[in-house]
Amino acid sequence: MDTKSSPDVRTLLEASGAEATPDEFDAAVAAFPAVIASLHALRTFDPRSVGLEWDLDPSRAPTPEITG
Amino acid sequence: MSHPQDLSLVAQAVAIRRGELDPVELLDATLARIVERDGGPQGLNSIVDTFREHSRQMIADAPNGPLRGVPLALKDMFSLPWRALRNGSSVEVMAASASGPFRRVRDSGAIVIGIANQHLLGAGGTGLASAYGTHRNPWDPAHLPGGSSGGSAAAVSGHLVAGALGSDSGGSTRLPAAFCGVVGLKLTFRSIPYDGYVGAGTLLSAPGTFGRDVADVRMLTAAILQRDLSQRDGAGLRVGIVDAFWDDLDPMVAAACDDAITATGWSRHRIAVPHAELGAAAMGALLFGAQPGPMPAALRRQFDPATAARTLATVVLPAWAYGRADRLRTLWRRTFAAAFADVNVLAWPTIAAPAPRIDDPFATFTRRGRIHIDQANLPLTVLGNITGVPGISVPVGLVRGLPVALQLQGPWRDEGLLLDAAARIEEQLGPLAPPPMAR
Repeated sequence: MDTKSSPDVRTLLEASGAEATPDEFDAAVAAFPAVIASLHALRTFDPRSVGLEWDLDPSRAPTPEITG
Repeated sequence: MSHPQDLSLVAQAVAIRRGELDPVELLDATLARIVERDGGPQGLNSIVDTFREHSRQMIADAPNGPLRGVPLALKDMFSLPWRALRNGSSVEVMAASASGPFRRVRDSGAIVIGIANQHLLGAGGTGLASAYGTHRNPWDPAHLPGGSSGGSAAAVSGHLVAGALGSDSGGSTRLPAAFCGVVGLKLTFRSIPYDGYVGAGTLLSAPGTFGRDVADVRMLTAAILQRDLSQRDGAGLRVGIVDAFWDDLDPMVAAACDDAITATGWSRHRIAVPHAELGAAAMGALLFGAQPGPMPAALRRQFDPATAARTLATVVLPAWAYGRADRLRTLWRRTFAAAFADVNVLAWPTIAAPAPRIDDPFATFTRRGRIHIDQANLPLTVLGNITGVPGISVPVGLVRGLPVALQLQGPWRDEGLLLDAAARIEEQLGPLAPPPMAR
């Protein structure tokens, strides 16, 4: 995850309803890259490689068929 | 008999049933031992709240169940009718109630004597963070008890109680059991009622049972599951070996576990678990992704500032992480189901190294170098949580004077098979001697 997304992280955090001071939001934004880094290994797993077609990556997930 | 807590859980239950041991006298002796061994700067600090009057009332009201009159310690993750659970914090997390796990204890006739210390919010495998303070390993008070159910494991190991309940969301029963040299069994996911249990909010958590030997854990587990777990022959099993979970461990730990399997005479069969190296990352995504919303500030602020910041940051966990972790869960559940069609149990070490010192919670490995003990241990336990299967940790000896253990995992709901297999190991190796403080 690149750190340029950090301003969006702050917006999302503030919109989450989290009860936090401005300093706590600042600290969470600063911590976010490390949190993502700890999960980054999951990027190496392609569910389709083991026959599991669907995932939640919006850039790769098939468009769901809307049937009404 | 020097002290009734030097009896096994089975022996306590039998002695009470025969009228040879009075439950009130056992209660009073146990409370005195807790004061004696938990107090002071080097005390275990394993049981943080006791309830003499409530415990006496439980004795008076106890049904004639298999554990009638036997005192147990419960982790701070289960609400009691007279106490809200705090999950190792100073905040009441869930209201007082007769929680599902409490009801199983009560209906067995057992007595809740106190609440066991634990790692704060169950969010660690060391026991270093807790609103109740540092708790210690009976084998050496300078070393970690493990976590997050460290108080439960230490209290059983140190002969403060003969049995205890813990919980396991990422290894939190099996890891402290291994560090403290006791047997710890993680139940199958959702095998008992989860109301009033803080683990109900995840797809990973299950209560766990602790005892000093397999027979004690068998009796306690059968009582909690309300199921017959009579012993069967644990010889002649087929054991699955997953190479990934034997890689880059303390060589003496790996050797002790390997020797234990050899002693059983079981046949070994290689099992492949794809992407096994992603277990810890997947657990993190599943745990944080399942949060219903931001953690209340009063709880979050119990952590040190850096951990609190990371905890807040997980509120905006990206969907790709949760999605992939969810697919991995499907993959591993299918993998385990297929494996158990071929082998009876899977076996690998519970811990990568013996319990480190409290002031230096790291271990050094050939390939990975010096890493935090949680980083070394969690990959060994989390697949049990992600797949929901039961798991047991059984001591297999000492390395540098500290206990090490083998972990066995089996098919859903087959706790009996794990107990039979663990009994086979114990029969072949002999039981682990008590820690020095309990001799």
